[in-house]
Amino acid sequence: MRRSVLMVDDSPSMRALVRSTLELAGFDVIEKIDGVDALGYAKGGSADLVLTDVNMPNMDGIQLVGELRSLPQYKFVPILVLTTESGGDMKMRGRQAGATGWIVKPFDPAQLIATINRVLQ
Amino acid sequence: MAAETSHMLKLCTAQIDGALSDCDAAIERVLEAFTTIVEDSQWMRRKAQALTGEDAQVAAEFDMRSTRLVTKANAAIQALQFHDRLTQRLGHVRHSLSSLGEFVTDPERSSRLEDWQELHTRLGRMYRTREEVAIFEAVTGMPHMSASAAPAPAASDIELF
Repeated sequence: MRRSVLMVDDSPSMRALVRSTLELAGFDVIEKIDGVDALGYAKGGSADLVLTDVNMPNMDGIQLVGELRSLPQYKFVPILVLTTESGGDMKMRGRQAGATGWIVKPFDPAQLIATINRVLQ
Repeated sequence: MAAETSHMLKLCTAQIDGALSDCDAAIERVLEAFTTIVEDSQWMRRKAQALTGEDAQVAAEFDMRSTRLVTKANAAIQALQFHDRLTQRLGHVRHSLSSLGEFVTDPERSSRLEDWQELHTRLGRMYRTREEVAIFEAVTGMPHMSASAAPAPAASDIELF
């Protein structure tokens, strides 16, 4: 059975790059453009994993992580943050909000897939 | 004068918007091509694996070339992410120009030094990546408010909590 990834990024090119990487690895991808868009989906739809950017309009990725963790169906779903932010403070905020892991862009496609498979086990 | 300045700044932001939109479309096409190449290569690899006897040599060659192709495609995907960084940075520049345009057409605010300083600080906070902070500090001659000076990330920095 194909696993699904809810991917959240306001950059169309980044969404295309991640989608291409994930689909070639056999995942179904649900694309959302910001935290509000993703949360709207999550309230009624499911995903096996969430991959979110941090800096986005309307609702940023850290807030999204916190909001998702308050939904019963996303309490234990792995949430990976994929961002250009590499500062310790920001990582700490992500961790406190409930993120499973932190990946700094630019990502290596093979490493991204390996990380996703690892947290899905 | 202020209205003219604002008008010119709007022209700048519109040019940035147009260029970024064109870039997004180009990246989509490049990725579509890559995806097709890799998918077709994977298909050929599967077919080749069914070959036996003398054709096994051909199968091994297919396998090796297909793996190489996927590796190259992955490298290209990593390299193409420069576009995302470029988009992010130009987005910040665009926002700065737009805010400046609004600011200069407000005679009350633009006549107060403290408001200029507030604008400077607010716009400066947007520049958060290492490269942006470096340029900010070089041009203004002041330390950036984030004082992040985060160490350069490795080619792929992954941390599981």
